[in-house]
Amino acid sequence: MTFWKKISNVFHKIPLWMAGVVVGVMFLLQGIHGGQLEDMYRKAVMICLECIGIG
Amino acid sequence: MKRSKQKNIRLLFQVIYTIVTNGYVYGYLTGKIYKGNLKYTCVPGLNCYSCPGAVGACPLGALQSALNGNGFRVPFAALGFLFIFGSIFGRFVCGWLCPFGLLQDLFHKIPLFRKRKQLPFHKVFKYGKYLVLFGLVFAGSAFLFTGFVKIPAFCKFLCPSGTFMGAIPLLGANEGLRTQISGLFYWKLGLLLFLVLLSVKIYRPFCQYLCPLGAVYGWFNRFSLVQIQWNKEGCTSCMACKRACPVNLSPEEISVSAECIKCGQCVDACPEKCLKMHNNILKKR
Amino acid sequence: MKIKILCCLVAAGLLLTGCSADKEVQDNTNAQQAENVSGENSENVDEGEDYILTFTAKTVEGEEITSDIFADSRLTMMNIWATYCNPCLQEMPDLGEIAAAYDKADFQMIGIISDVMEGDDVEYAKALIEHTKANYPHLVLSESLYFNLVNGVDAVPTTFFVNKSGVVLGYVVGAQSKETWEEIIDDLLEKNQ
Repeated sequence: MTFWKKISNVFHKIPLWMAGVVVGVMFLLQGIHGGQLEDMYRKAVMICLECIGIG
Repeated sequence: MKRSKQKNIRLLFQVIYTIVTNGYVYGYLTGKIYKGNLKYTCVPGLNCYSCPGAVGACPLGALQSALNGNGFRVPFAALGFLFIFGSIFGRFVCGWLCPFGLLQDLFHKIPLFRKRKQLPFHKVFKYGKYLVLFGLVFAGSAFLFTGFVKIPAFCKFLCPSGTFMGAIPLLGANEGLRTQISGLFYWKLGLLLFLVLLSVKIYRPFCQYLCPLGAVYGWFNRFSLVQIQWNKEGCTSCMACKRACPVNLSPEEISVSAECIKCGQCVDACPEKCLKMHNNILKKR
Repeated sequence: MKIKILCCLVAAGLLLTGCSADKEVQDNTNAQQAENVSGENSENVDEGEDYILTFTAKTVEGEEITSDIFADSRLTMMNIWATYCNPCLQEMPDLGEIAAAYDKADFQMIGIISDVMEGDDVEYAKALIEHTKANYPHLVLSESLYFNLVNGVDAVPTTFFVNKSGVVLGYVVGAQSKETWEEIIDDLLEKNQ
């Protein structure tokens, strides 16, 4: 089998949900690298009152 | 009347889950919020981080927080959480892992009014979720300026879960905060009351017609790990499942439709035992 | 039945971890014991002991400031804000005007940027300060400032009032109008000669 055919076989053996989780983990890591988790944490522990509908 | 086993398990699970994810008791007693490291992670369901009891962050809050940044950035971290939860659970999150879903379930149990599963014009209104997702969560948070900086538009203008679990307990415990109440709060309070009262008659109106998180997880429903399996050969088309289903799905639609919250009531109702909670673990493409 | 008991135990266990994780943090700040100055009404006097605020921090310009600065004025107003918070930014032009209106020996204003740590990029914060014309010193978060003051604060904007000895007199949560601030400031100046 050619290289690409092998890749395609592996690809078809992975259930979609697993591919979704892998993509999710990759996105998450990319987000952490960009400091997005830090941003989210800061907003989660120091609330902007307007954001929750008060003042 | 014997209540179905599935219903009891699910209710217990929902209650325990809500207590665990919003159980920072110290927060409720003092009106302060949890500031520990668990807030670096999102919980799967709708769960405002301004809730004094909340120990995790909200995925929609995280999504909007990234979109609120300077310029336009792809909200990778939030998408990551959504992909992971969606791929594993799909809308099982809605049925089992969302405190606001639990609230609506409880109000629907109140024995008043003749119960209806859906609003009239359901086929149109069910797309409201996508309108909220694209209009408020995305466009509103990425582009709308109501002052100097961008705001999480869904959180600010709509989210009833945030009003119920965040704003109300905080205002209850913090006298100083009450001076800040403005028209916006009354709008959100009114919306919360309307949805909660409506849920007495109609099953989970927020989930069916407005929830943007449900819209996202709905896209994962067909492929998620958690599924309800239908044994087509054994089916006699009696439609007992459809009658039992709180959102009125036919056997073909169960588990794969974007409306299915995988509550499992169909599983108990099927006289031929054609339906069961299952997983997709080995399903190849 | 067994499963139910197990679930309750798990839930109880998690609740307790949640509580103890923050106890250390709570011991570090006594800001909650300060009296609460609310709106235009009179203060609620707390019988607890005075909380004296000490800290070392840098301004957005890089200048180092310590709590010795409290001795310069009869009353210091510390306004904690964040770069993502609209109500904070909307009251800052007013705060800039108030800061200019009083004599430094009587009153001074200090801003605290709660989402910029020492070492972070300050350009965005500086642009916001310029845009809102908030011409008074703004401090970037340092460890002492965080543990001694900001950690006990849950929402922005929150403003603290400190007298010349560094004693925290009270705090106000939320943005207020210029008139409200001036009333509070004049009231506190009278009470703290």
